[in-house]
Amino acid sequence: MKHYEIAEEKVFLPGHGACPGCAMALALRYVLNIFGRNSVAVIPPSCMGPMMGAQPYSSMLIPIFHNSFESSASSAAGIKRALRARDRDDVNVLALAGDGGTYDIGLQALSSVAEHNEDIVYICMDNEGYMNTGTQKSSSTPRHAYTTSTPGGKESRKKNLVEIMAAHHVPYVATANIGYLDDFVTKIHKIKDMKGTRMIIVLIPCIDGWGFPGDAAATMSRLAVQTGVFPLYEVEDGTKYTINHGPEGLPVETYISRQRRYRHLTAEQVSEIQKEVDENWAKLEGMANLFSATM
Amino acid sequence: MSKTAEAVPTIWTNKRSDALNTGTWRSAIPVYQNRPSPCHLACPVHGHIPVWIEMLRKGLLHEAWQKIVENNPFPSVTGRVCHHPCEDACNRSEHDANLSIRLMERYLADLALEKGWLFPETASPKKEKVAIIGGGPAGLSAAYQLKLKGYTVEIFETKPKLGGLLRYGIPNYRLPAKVLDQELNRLAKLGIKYHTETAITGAAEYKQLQNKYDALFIATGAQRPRKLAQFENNPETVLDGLDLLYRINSGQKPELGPKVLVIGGGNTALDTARCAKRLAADVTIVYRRTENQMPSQETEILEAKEEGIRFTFLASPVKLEKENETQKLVCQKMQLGEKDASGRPRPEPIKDAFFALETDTVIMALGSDIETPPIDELETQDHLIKVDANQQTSVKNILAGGDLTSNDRFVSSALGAGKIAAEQIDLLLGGTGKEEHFTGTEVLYEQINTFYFPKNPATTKSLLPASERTRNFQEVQLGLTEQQALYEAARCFNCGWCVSCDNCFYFCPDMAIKINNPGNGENYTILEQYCKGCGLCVKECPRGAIVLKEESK
Repeated sequence: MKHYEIAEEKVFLPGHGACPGCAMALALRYVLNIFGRNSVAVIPPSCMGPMMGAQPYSSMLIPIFHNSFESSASSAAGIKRALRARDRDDVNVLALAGDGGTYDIGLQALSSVAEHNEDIVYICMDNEGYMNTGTQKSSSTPRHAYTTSTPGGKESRKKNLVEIMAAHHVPYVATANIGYLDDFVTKIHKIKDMKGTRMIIVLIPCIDGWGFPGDAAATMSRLAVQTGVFPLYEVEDGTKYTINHGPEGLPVETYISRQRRYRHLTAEQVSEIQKEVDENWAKLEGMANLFSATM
Repeated sequence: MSKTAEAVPTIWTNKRSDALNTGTWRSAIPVYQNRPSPCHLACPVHGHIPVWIEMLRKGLLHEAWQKIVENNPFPSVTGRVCHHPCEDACNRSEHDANLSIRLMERYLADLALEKGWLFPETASPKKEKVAIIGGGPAGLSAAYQLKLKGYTVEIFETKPKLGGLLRYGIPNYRLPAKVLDQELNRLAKLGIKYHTETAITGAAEYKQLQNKYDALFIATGAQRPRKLAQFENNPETVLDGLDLLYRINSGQKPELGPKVLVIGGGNTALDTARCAKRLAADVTIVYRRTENQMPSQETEILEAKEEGIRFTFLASPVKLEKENETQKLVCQKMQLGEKDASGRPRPEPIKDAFFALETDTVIMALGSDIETPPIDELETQDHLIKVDANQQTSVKNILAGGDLTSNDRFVSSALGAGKIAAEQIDLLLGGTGKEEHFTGTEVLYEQINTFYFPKNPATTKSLLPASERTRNFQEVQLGLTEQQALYEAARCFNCGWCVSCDNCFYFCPDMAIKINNPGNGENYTILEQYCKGCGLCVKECPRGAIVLKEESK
């Protein structure tokens, strides 16, 4: 049987404001508790706000800087440079942002930081939309998904941020989720020991925004991987690919049929999604074969 | 406001969120529950199977064996001959293949015999005395449970040795006499008083026991073989199956002709046929239904075929004929008709369709019936002694079990009846009776989180090669090696039984689960001030040992 043993430093506290059963709270628990007290984080507007708690309370026992929506990466880089100037290079600086603040509004700053290979960790909690403000679509929202701003389903595809970051040749970019806790924890440990711009995109199935039962965040995370919708993989230095967990032959239908945001889909649209997933996987496998990290 | 508080600008973040009580959001709360597994519910002795398998997996072999013998004093016996309804119920069968629970039990039980492990100490003696009539599995199981509780127990057995059908009805190639002897010797050390070669048959004898003892448990079995009237006049060539088994197990070597026919389709038919084969005979089983309807266990049929035993189905014996020197059994061909009371299609004779089989010896294995003990007001039902779910008969302080009360004819069912009777006797005599170890509903396969259980094939069971079997009574089914036993144990879901895997702890987004120090009762505590009642721990428990309970405020 699978068995976890995870050492944690107590940084993330109970009493936080996340919804019951939220995968992001669980993901944050491992990010903060593994990076530990010797860290500073920047948080743009996102679900991370309520998760930290209302003033004067905080659920995070580290200094937090609330930056503007578009500036997470550059704020983090600035703080890191300031710390270095004051001889505190040992402090980890984390940007904790959502997909809206990353894929859309913060992309310019992120691109610049990545291009400079600034020494920061960027965790993108990707719940595929602006879930904190009422479920509007982002460029991370997948095709055909309902949001309040795409009532008939989104027409365009989800942006591939891993490829964008890989194209910047950052030292590390990976996908992860809490369904594969051991894999996630391994990746956090890995980037903690690295330097430069490091990013993990964590798929956060959103109970309210996607519409599924409150106890199923881990199940949904796994189905995303097992159906091939969200494979778990790493790209190092833009060229070295490692696939950690890929599709297990389950049709995408088993994933999307459990989410309210897809309930309007026609059979044709389901097969379109299946086709897109198959294409993405073929492309990823091809890249992994061409640029295997173990070669 | 105090002065120091005023000194801190209000814009500062200076308080910890763990002062906030998010537990108030909740409408349901997780509750740890040791729920019954399908194997436990199916087991006739209600063994704590997921519990001892966990101990086996951890290498706590003695503890695992002790857990087994809480419910069953003869695990080396049942580890060989149990019809294992537990394995048929196993949730793992929907995943890859069910567990070899019986062989794991046998592994531990044989180890116990090798190491000389003993039963637990009996409780301090009670003044009440219980008489047990019949020293077979039901009687011995009841005696064991009652003795452990401190009662004075005396067993009355007709035959020279204890064991009942275990000794005289199961051939050595399935259950070696040495194994049975060793397990009986261990039981004898508890101080149960045995009266062998003491038949209790008359009304006066029963009356005497009723007066002398506080309770009676009657488990005299089904000893009267069923016969076919048309063969009453052929005592030389028509033998009784149970009697033949008795003679073989008592050390005799009965003379059988070269061509043997066995009539019947139950375990006795299979046992006698396979015994006959070992006495160098050509053996055919004649059964009036088809293979699918045979009450015998599937593995038995398979092994019999491997040993070269032939089957003639849909045939009913009519009479014996002698032509010159050749004796023939005339049979009528049958066909399957409507379903009968047992749910199986009823065999119906086909008019004028007869055929004959050459034979030297015919063995009747048609089953057996009970002798009703001569006790006033003892009610019967369908040719069995009538009992309730607690093995209580219509007479106060008289309980009955085993083949006397059931058509099951399984060793484990008899052991279970003995255990239930002992619990009921304890209750009647002022004790606590049955103890509940599990709560809640049966764990279903859908409630197992299979992500945590990679698919692994079942252990291959080893048998003595067929060519080495038929000339002797050597044991056919072989046990597991230590490595195999541990491999099987590692496959167990432990349905409903918390094994402290800590998954609930790791999956709580609210850090609302505290791991307790080992041995402090519950493995975990729910921090009610933080738990939002999301149920993620319930879902991520690999084995369904947590349930969500609604709360009303």
